[in-house]
Order: sequence, then C-alpha cells, then structure tokens
Amino acid sequence: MSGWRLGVDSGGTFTDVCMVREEGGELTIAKVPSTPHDPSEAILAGVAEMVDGSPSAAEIAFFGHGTTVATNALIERKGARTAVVTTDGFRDLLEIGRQRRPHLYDLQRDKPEPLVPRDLRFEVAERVYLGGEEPVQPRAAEIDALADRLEELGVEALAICFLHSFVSPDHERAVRDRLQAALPGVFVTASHDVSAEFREYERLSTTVVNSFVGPMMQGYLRRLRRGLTEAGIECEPQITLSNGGVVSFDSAESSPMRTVLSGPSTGLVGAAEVCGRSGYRDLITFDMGGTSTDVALIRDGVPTMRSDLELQGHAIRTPMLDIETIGAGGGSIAWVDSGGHLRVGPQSAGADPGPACYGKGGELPTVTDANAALGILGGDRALAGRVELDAEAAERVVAALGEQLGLGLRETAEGILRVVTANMARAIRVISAAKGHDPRDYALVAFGGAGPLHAARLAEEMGMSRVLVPETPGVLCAQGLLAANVRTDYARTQIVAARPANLAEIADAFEALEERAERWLEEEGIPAERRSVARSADMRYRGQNYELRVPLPVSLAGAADLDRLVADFAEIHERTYGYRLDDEEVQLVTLRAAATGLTPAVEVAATPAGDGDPARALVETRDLRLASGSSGEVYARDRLLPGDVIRGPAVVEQMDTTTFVPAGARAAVDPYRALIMELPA
Amino acid sequence: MTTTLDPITVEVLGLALSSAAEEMGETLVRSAYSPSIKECRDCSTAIFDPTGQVLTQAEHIPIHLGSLIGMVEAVTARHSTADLEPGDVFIGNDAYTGGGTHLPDIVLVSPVFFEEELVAWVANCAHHADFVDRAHANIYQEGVRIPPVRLYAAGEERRDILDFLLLNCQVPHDRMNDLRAQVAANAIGVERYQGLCRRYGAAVVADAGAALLDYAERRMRVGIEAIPDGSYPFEDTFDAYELGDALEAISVVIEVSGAELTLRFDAGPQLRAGLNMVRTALEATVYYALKTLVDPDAPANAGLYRPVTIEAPAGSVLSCVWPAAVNERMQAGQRVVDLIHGALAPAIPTVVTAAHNGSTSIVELYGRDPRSEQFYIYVESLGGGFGARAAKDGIDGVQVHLTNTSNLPVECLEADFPIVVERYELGVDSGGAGTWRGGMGLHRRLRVSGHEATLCMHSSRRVSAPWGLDGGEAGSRGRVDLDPGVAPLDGRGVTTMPAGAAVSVRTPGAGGYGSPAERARELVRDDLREGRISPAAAVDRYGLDPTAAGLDVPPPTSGPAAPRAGYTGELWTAAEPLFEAIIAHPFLTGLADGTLPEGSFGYFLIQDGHYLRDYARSLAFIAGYAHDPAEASVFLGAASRAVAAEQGMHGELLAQCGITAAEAAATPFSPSGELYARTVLSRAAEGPFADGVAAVIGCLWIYREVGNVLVERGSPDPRYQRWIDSYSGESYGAAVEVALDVVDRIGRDSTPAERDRLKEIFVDTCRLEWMFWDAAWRRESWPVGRA
Repeated sequence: MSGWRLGVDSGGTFTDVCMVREEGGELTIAKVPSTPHDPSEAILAGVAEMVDGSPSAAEIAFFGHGTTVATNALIERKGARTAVVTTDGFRDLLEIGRQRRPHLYDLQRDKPEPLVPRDLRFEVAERVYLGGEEPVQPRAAEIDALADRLEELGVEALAICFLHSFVSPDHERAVRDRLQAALPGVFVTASHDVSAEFREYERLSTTVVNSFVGPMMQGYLRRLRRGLTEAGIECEPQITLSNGGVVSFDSAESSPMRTVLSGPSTGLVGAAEVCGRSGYRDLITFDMGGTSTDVALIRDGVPTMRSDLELQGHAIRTPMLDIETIGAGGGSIAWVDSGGHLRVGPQSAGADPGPACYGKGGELPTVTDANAALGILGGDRALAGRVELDAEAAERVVAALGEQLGLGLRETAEGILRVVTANMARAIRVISAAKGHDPRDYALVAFGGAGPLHAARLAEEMGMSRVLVPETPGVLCAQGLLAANVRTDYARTQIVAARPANLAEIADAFEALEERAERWLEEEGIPAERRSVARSADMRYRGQNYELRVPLPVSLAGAADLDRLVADFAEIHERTYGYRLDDEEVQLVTLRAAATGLTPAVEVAATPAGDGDPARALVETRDLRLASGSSGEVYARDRLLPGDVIRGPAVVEQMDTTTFVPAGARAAVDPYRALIMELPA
Repeated sequence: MTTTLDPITVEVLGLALSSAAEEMGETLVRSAYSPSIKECRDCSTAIFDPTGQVLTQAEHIPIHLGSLIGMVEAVTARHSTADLEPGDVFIGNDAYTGGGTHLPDIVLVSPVFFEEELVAWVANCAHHADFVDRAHANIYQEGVRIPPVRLYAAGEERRDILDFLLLNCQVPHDRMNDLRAQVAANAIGVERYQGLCRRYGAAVVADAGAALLDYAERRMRVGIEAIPDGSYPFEDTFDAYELGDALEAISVVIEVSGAELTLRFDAGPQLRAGLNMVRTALEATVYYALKTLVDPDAPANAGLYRPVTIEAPAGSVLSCVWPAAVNERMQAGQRVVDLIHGALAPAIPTVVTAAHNGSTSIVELYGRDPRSEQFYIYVESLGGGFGARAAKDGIDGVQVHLTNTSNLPVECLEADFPIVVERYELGVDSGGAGTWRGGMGLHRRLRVSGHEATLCMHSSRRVSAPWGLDGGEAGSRGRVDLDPGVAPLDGRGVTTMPAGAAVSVRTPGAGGYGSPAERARELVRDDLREGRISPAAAVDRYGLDPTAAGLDVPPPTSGPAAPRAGYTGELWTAAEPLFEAIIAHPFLTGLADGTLPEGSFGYFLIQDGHYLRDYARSLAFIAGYAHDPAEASVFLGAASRAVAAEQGMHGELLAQCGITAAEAAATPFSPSGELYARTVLSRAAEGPFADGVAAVIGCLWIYREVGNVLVERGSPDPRYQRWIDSYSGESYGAAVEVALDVVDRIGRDSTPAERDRLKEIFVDTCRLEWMFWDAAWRRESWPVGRA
C-alpha cells in the first residue's frame, strides 16, 4: 500500500509539520504555533490539520518526530530529582569533572551547578581492579539501606556509575537490579547501559543526564503516543536521535539522553537528502537562526559523527552528528569594545525587542539591521511574510555605531557582516580543516532563517565556490524526518592490539555487538531486506588516548583484512593530524555496530523547466548599498522555475528566508527548485 | 607602529590567527602520547611576528607564555635569520639559553616563510613527563638542557640530535612520539599562516598583526585607567618541601599611575632548590594576573605588556640567574598571582579574589610496572580551592591561575599505571569561611599496586594558609598523609612506597571573602546539608544556632561514625558516656590544640608500645578461636597491624620525641596499662571467641572514633598530627568496620543473656581505656618500688 509519511519538528516558536506521499513525493507543509508547556498539544493540532480526511489518519505509514523536550529540560534544569550512586570515594566526581575552571582569565565566571546536589550523591563500597586484585563485591545489606534512604528522600531518578563498569558491568548490574526492584517508580540508569566506554567522568555525566531528563521524556512520549492513537494514527511513531536516525518511542524512553541533538540532527539528514537529490553529496551545512548557528559536514551523503558534547557544561557521550554550534545569529548585537574594535555577539536582541528594524523598540544594532541598512532585507515585502521592516530604524542604529568607529553607514553595515562571517568561518574550520577536510572540496548548503542571507559571504571567506539553497530551507528539519533511517548504535570499549593473534577476539566482540544490533532491528520490526549493520572501530596508536573512527572492511577473516584496517587507520591519522607512525602498534579501542533500518526512498518528481528567464519572478529593482554597486534585482522564490539563472547582485525572497546573491555570482534553479549559486573564483 | 588597516579587517584577521593557534593545540592534544599532554592538556601554542612578539596564544596554560615569549629571541640570538629555511624546526627548553622556564616544558618553534620572506613564527610548548628522580641544587641536576637547536633542518629530521636527546630522557619512546605530535602542530600553524598570506597578502597580515598589538595595548590602558592611582603594597610567604618548615617572604608594591602600572617585587636570594623563577616566568605570571584584573577578554598578545613595568632583583627567587634550579617555579608563581590580587584589593575590591589554593600540588610516582616490566612515570597536578569573590563563593576543586590542566581519568590512570585511586573528593571544611566561602581543596588517595614505587610530592601552602579578604578566613592548608610503615617524606618530598602502601594528598582550600557571620544563613545551611562544611564549622565558624542547625544536620562524613544499627549500636549506646569522657580528656584536647606536654606524649608512646605487644597477642589468640576463616583473618590482620604500628610509627615518633628504643624498653609498664593489657589478654587467651572479641573491640573502635574526631580539629604539632592521621585514615577505619561486622554477627547468634554478659566485658574494657589515657596524662608510676 502506498501511504503518506508525516514529519513533525517541534521548535521553540513553531512546530513544523510536513507530509509527503510515498509515490510521487507530493509535499505539504504546515506551521503551527508551538505549545512549550506540552509540545504534544501543538503536534496533535498540526497532525489534525494534515490528516483531515484526505489522506486519512489510517493512510499515514510513517510518523517521525524531532524533539527538544530533553534538551530543554537540561538547559532549563527542569528535570527529575535525581540521585547518584558511585564507587566508594567518588561521590564528588560529578562536580569535580575534569578539574578545569570555567574560564582561564575571567575569574567571575561560575561552573554550572551539578544536576545532582552533593547530599544526593551516594557511595557504595564496591570496586573492580585492573591489576588482578580481588574485586570488592557490593553488599546487599548496604544497597537495601540505601534504597530506604533514597525512598525517604523522595528521589525520582537514579544514576549509577561504578569505576571500570565498561569492562566489568556485574556490580553495576546487580546494584541497578536491586535498587530498581526496591524502588519500582524510580527511573534508573546504569552507566554501562548508556555508555559502555572508558573515562568515568564523561560516562557518569551521561548517565546523570539520562536520568535527569528520563521521567519527563517518558511522560511526554507516552502522552504523545496516546494522542496519536486517539487521532487514528496506526503506525509505530518514531523519534529522532542525536545520531540522525530514528527509533521507536519505546527505544527512546529508556535512553532519552540520546535525543539531545534530535532537532538539529534531523535538519542535517534533511539537508543530505534534499541536496543528494540535486546531485551534491559533499556538503558543509550552515543553519543560521536568530540567536545561534549550527554548522556540520556531510561527506559522500553521510554526516560526520562525534561521540561527545558539552551542553550547558554537562558532558554527554553518545554517538551524535558532529554539529558545531556558535552563539551568533541574525539577532546578535554589534558593539565597539574598549580597544575600538567592532564586535558582534554574544549578546542577542532575541525575539523581543529584537533587531531595531523590527520596530519593537530595539535600539541596538544587530546583524539583521546591518542587512536592512544595506537594503538586502526590506523593500516593500515583509520579512518572512510576517514582520514589516523599519529600514530607517536600522540605518539609524547602524550609523550611530559607525560614528563610534569613524566609519560611514555602508562600511559599518558591511563591517558587521564581515565580523559575523569571520565568527562563522571559525566554526566551519573546526568541523572541516581541523579534522582534515578541505572546505574547498565541499558545497555550502544554507538553511534556517538567516543562512541563505549570509551563505555567499561565508563561502567566499572559506574559498568555497558553490552554495546551495534548498527549496524550503525553513522546514528542512521536518523533511529530514521523512528520510531518516531507523538507527541505533552499539559500542563497547575493548582495548585490543590489531594483531593477527587477536583476530578471533575481535571477531567475537563484533559478533556480540552485531547480535544485539540484529535483535534490536528485529524488535523494531524492520524487514530483513532493509536491515544493515555497519561496523567500525575507534583506533589509535598504542599510547595515544584519543581515537579515530575507522570503518571496518567487509570481512575481518584474515591477516590481510587486518592489514587493510590498519592501513585505513594510518591514512585517516595522516589526513587528520598530518603524520603517521608506521612502526607503532595500532589498537582497537571501542568497537561499534550501527544498526540501520533503511527507509524506502521517496521518489520525488522533478519540476519541468521554465523558459529560463527569471523576469517572471522579478519583484522590483532595489537600491542596495553594496560596495560593488548601487542596485540589484529582487525575485520571488516561488515564481522561479528550473532553468532560470540570476546574476548578482540580487536578492531572492521567499516566505521563510531571503537569499543574497553577491555581484559576480550566478544562481541557477535546478530541477528540484534548489538554488545553486556559483561564486567567482 | 600605526596601521592603515580598518579595525574590521584587523578583527577578522585576529579571529583567523586565534583559530589557527587553537587548531595547532587540538592537533597536539589529540595526537600526543603522554597523558600529561593528551588527557591533561598541559601544552600551549602561539603565533609570533618575525621579531618574536606574541600575536596570539591559544588558551591553555598561562605559565607557558613564559616559555614562549623568550623563545624566538633565544633562537635568533644563536642562529642568523639569513640561514633560516622553510621546514626548519627548532627545539629548546633551557631556562637560561633556550627561552624556557623549566626543563620539562619543551618548546618547538618554526619559522614561517611566504614567498621566500620570513613572515612569522609558530611555536608550541608541551610538558613532557620525564626528568624525574633528580636533584635541584642547580639546573644541571634537573634534566637535559637544550639550547635552541634545529630538530628539523629544511624539513629533514636530524636524527643525531634526536638520538642525543632521547638518550637523556627516561621514557624515550613517549618523548619521541610527543615530539612528532609537536612537529605536526607547528606544521598546521605554518600552513594556516601561509593560507592567510595567500588570501589577504603578507603585508596586510603583518599590518593586522601590528594593529592587534596596538589594540591589546589600548584595551589594557583603558582598563588600567579605571584603577585608582596609588601605591599598593602586599606581602606573603611561601613554603615548600625543600624549605622544611621555613617560610620564604615575597612582596610587591604596585604603582598605578594613569594608564600605566609598575610592579616592584622583592624576594630573598635565589635558593639552592628548584623553586626559583626566571625573569620570563615572572613576566608570564604578571601578564596573567593583570589580564584577570584589568581585562579578561583582551587578546593574549605582546601588546598587553606595553603599559606594564616589572622590577625584581636579579638573582632573587622571583628573578633568578644561572645556574639556579627552576623545576618548581610554579610554587612561587602561583603565589605571585595572589600577591598581585592582594595588593590591588583596596583599589578594586570587587574585581580581586581572596587567595586561591596557592599550591601546585604535583604527585609523581615512578617505578617498574610489574605488568610490563617497563619503567613508568606518573605525574599529575591536582587542583584545589579557588578564592572567594566579592559577591560570590569561590569554586571547589579546580585548577587555578597559572595552570589549567585536566585531571587524568581514573580509568586511564589505572590502565596506564600500576596505581589504584582509592578516593577523589572535595575536602570538608577546607574552604575558608566568609560571607562568601573560599573554594574547597581536593583529597586524592593513591595506592601503589603490586610493586615498590618512589613517591615525589611537590606542594606549597602546607605551612602558611591561603588568606581571606575583608574579614574572610583562611582556607585550609595542604597535607600529605602516608600509610603507617611508610618512611616520611624527605627534604625533597621523596619517599619509597612499599607495595600496597597508599598516600592521601589533601590540597589546600582557598580564602573566604567578608566576615563569616555575615554569610546568608540559608547558604550556611545549604553547605551543611551538602556536607561542604561540618556541623562544628557551621556553629564555630559561622555562628549558626546549633539547635537550629541540628534540625537538618546530615550524618557527618567524618568525625564519629554514624551510629551503627544492630548489636554494635547497642554496645555503643552503653559505652557512650565513657567515650565522651575520653574525648573530653585533657590528654586528647591537648593533643589537638598542641598544648599536650611532650613528656606526656612520650610517656604515652612508650606505654602504648608495651600495650600493643600484648594486644597483638590477644588478637592472635582470638583468631585461633575463630571457626570462620574469614573472621580469623580479620583478627590476624588486626594483630599484624598492631605489630606494624608498634614497630613503624611508634619508633619514628619516639625518635622525634628524643627517646631511644633502649630507654623505651627499660621503662616499666604502668599499673593501669598492665591491668588493661592483662585483662584483655586473659579474656582472649581463655576464650571463647565471643568473649575475646568483646574484650578487644573497644580499643580498636575507640581509637578510630578518637582519630576521626581529632582529625577534624587537626593538631599544630606535626608529631601529634602524625599519630592522629594514622587512626583517622580510611584503611584503619575499614579494618575496624569489618571487625564490627563480626561483633554484629555474634550479637545475632547469641542469646539475650549472652549479649548482656558480652556488653559488660566491653564496657569494662572501655573504662580501662579511659584509665590508660589518664595514666599517660598523669605520667602514672608505681606508688612503691620493687625493693
């Protein structure tokens, strides 16, 4: 049966709902106001709007959801009353962390408060030793007394993390089971269940985050599922993880910390899908919003991964897409510091009062004001179809800033854009050049409300020659849900030398991981022909402490396969760090299996080409205060057709964003209505 | 130098240069070998203009700036710039010719060429965990001195130089691979700088560099102008193992005049110990301190220094000359930062902080790993308290000021070294009391596993305490406690750790800010609930109403252990009045406040020695009566511990009290002592098992409780402290705990009548215990002689 696929991305302000027919790819998009007190309300309203009979709820074959519930609970510290149980002697580990202070020079900064106060952190006499000493077994009587104490304290969630549990999980398992049995209503996480990898602080912190957001996430998912069932949706609903894949609500309930990057990850999957359709598989994504910007790298259609993240000072270790976030966006405020330099951010005008040009009382110049002052934003059409722009206010505040710098209006506005571009370029270097990827080999794909406005400048700064702006850059997240594969990652730290003698050990370990992966795919109901399990290993030279991830060859049967694995590692090491050590022993450290249930591709029909003349989409010729010229054409995106070519300077406006095409650049509309901009060399 | 570049281009290039330095740092950390670089991030990177002015330093370790600021100058002093070639990499570490500040920090610096012109230098500095087991009378003893020499010439590794260096390193394999990572980091820096030249033109990048220096200078001047003009003096003292208990005075007078600032330091002559700072280390220290006070956000480049003048007597501890040893320059350096904050406290009270922990607490353990037979060196720097601020508490358990290294995860440490970390926690009551509390110090307990190792401790603030401001109290001092039987640290902070021995390192807390009486009661109660302060401190230091405090006081983490349930709980209740009488006895209060006469302590040691011999026999008898081998081993263990205490700690303490072993042996057992010892011994020897246990348990138990109560109070007399420590340690406490478990088991298996009888035996021995202390206090003797 051919059905419809429904994707819902719930953001802070709007909940985007997007629906596509599995045959033909017909796309419908809706935006409904978000309901932050319970995001499921807006979702159910949006779904009701979509499935109003044609199609019917029963025709929905897939429901995918990107959520920020866990992220917000963490950021706002509105999680469960959580307790920690650690090995004797380590109750303060959560607080000490890596022992570093919050800022090197600013002595007034504070460390974020730990999610669990000191009096809710408990120790248990137990220990595993690596050097062959007899382990100290946890004692039942002590655990029972602890259970009583935890109950008395009204604890709602519990995080258990013992030293070395990634190699010997027995103690953790025993204590977990005993405490869970004694405290049936409490959300319990044992560290080896969420992160079977070494480095105790990061594992503990991940475990705590999971428990802290657990009860809230569980309640939310159950409420939403009930609502969907009542709305007549019969398919098993799915949720996006930070790794860009989706899993069933059941899977997500036990490890909600895997959803902290759910929202942005979905956008990345959407970008990979949409740009792949247009024939681009090596991409750097640039998602710029009002207050922050996310950048990431996609190589051969696959986003690069990372294994840890620090969110609001809390370490989280789980496989996730490698997204670099910086606190700069359209609302970032420009200012002059005590040394006379122009700076942009980190302060933001936010949504209220917002940039001066929003006319809501903002008096500080922002990045958006710089665009308005240059005429790139504005004219007769309202921004994003919603806000009427006050260009005069923008000019006034930017000019006032210029006086402090001794620069004119145009130079100041240009300056703001150059500085914010330099900040963005730093973030891009982190995910590309610093990891051995030359950005010039990639196309920049712009989305988010402000991405297409700044993409050309950023590409120029990075020496990149091509920018893509998808047809609907504002709802890529929801689109990503339609393409996301079902996915869960399994990992286990097992340090073993890459020697032929260890082949059997390595193969056995992978087999165990693969078995778990297969079992999970089975549970998720993925038909055999759509299952895939990709194996990889985090490897290093013996003695190093940071690993590089290397995909495993198809077979790992003989010494030749192992040689190839080691050679692949050396190549990645050289690409990343600029050298290799061929006489050093190579170790496999963490073994991984990524279980994927492939989503059937949606066939999207190309739009027939137009006559190649964009004049039909011309809105006006506007004065642009650009260094290079005086005026440029303004086009309406929805009237452009494949084959149209626009020459800069020009501005393309649409509901959810504005694209700037600088002088010398040309932008062509491709068969999938993506705008492909070529920059002069 | 003035520049025609607009401030926006300068800002854009400034961002690009700092991201290049950061990228160098990431490459170094991620690909290095030794834990000190890869996990602890004890390394820094920087970019310089052709004359050696720092254009940007990546934010890692502030003291490393000292090794970087002099490096290019050291290279050009020896090598003509005309001979430089692309692909050259210089290596150096020497404090007098190599631009360094101490030998383990090895710097690699590379010239950057663009279109055949020298346009910049890039450098990185990494702390190599090597050069251990050295002496520090002068720099020749501290490791291999490397003047700036080419490690790579025009891109070719100079194998002869490398071989020469590696032969002088104790872990050559790690050194070689760390150096390769350092070379790779410089290569990234060279490439990035050249990329900027290609994009903007070398002249524009150079102009931007000059403008960045001017910019930093402007920001510093604006910041200094905000400080009221005046002359601000401050003095402090510092201590280190090499100084014994002596204190070295250091002082500063800071003159603020308009937009300029002069610091005049004074300190004693350089020491024949590794505690001296070379001039560049002092400079890096001052620049760090001023950045925290004047403009934390100013770029870390050479423009910062222009409005600042530093004076210090050459040949002094703070500005030493050849051939002074410099290994532990950080002990003085950390103190110099506090000194500057203290001096400027009257001028900018809301910006300065109370004294941070002021110690660079470094634990070194080295030996042969029994698993691999390889020589290993474990070095780790522990954080401590961060000083209280004018309107905020300090920060608990972090690295402060000149260092910012991460800890080594226990799971990495135990995999890489034959060492077990037994505890890693915040020190209760270590933060100085104040309206705003000083940060807490750390406690890390390390045990060497299955082999003998050498321990070398570096620390300060063991004698002087980190001061508070504006009525805030001082933070706690640092302390190192060794297991009984381990020889005390020698004058270099070194001792041998037998297999299985543990060391407890407590790092200092930090000073408080404002009077503790003014602290919000809610915050005092929060600290109490969270166990950051003890109930005693809440009442004594903060003046919290004890009855109110009693409402939600948690069971204290040290001090008398939480009352036990079961039969031992019952026993304790019966003996509690006796225990309280013991704690209140003048012998023990005197031990804690240091007023106990040395003679009483010596008498006690002799009597306790006599007692322990019989007591060990009692324990052995009990083990013989035990049916359960596990229970037998509890008392056998206690017996051997009693023997070890008698032979180990007692012997040393007796010697420190000036009593010889012969004198001790010749002194007769006191009447009370003999009564106590014989009573216990007869119960133990006659059996049954339960009676013997009831007779010995009181002594074991009471010593632990006494130790725990006294350790909180601490003693100013190191000998008394040593005694307290041995009974407040975790290992002693744990041994008592298992013995108490046996008592509980006996209680469960006995009839009520038997339990009552055993209780009587127990209470009787507790009474004898009181008499034993009292006898020592009175120096009791036999009322009539033998003849």
